[in-house]
Amino acid sequence: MKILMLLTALTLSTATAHTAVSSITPALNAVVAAPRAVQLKFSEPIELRFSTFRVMAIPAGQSVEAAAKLALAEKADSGRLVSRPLSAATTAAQLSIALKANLKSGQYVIAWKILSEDGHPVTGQSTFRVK
Amino acid sequence: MSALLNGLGFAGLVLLLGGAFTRTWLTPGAPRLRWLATGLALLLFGWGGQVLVTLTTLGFMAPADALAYLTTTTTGRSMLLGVIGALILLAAETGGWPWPASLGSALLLAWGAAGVGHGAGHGSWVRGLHAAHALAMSVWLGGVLALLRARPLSTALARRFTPVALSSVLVLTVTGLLMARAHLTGPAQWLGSLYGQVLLVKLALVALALGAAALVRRAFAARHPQVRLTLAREALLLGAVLGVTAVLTTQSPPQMTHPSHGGQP
Repeated sequence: MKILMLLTALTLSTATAHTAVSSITPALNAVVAAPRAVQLKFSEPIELRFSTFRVMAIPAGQSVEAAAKLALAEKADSGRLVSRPLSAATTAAQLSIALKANLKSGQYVIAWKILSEDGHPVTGQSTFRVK
Repeated sequence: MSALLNGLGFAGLVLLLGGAFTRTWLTPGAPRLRWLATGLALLLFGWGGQVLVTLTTLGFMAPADALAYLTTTTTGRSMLLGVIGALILLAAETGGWPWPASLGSALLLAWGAAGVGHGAGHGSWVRGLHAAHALAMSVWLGGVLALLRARPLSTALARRFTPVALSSVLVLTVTGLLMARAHLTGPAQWLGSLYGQVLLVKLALVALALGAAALVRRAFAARHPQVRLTLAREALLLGAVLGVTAVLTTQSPPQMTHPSHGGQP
């Protein structure tokens, strides 16, 4: 057992953990009244200068993944997005993304490409529905 | 691609740190400086490639983005610090500077390397553990490679290296234990995730490397004619451990997974 612990230690020592989005508001698949902002919390600070966040209505017939790719391809000030551009360029463990007013009913995707403080790029998406 | 670049970076570290150690303490003058220069080239290629892949993935590809990455992010600044340490180390070895210069620059390089990856973002203590771990691994593998290339290969040289190798294993164990607590909390995570499975492969290779090291010790004691072959086996296994580590560093431990659709691209 001691040998196993020793060997385990040897192998684990260079293990890395990538930054994850630890919570999102509105939560995944939540049905809500039109939110004014989206909040994200991360498992560790991220580099905002190299991170991208987009919120967009999912076009009819598009999968969530395809809509996330489309959203991330849009410029921050694109009219197709419902999120407003970010101005911060430091590191942060949580973030609030302002949304345009009066979102229409439907499903929205929150898409991100983030650079964690340890240098790993991480992509992901979540969805919510406006009543 | 990321794993390959990580592996090149690790190989560069071993050549630089392990090479400087053996030149200073174990086999003076060997390996030749070109091996350290090769280490620097591998380090630059591996880290430069990582920057390129990362920025391409994130969609930031202008030259100004690369400059900003290197000067404003923790990883970028760590890379710069590591390269400065590597350059001073190479200069110290080239100019025959006193050993404290080599030691200081080696520590600077290790500290920089520890900030590239998950040694960053968790405070100086964890980063220090990563730096110590990288130094210990480089000394172990560097020493084995130096013995392998030594002409003649004497028992006295092996005896000189033994306490250093044991100390390296001790440092690897202690630093590993201190860092291990944050990852893989249960047996299910070992078998139920790609991260855990890669880790098990590495575990098996480390066990084999330790076994190979014991056989080397026995071969030296018995003055076995094929002792160099046993050393080559140990070096190959340690190289394989580095290779699997390079793959492992691209995986995310299972407890980091979020219920939304997140992941590394």
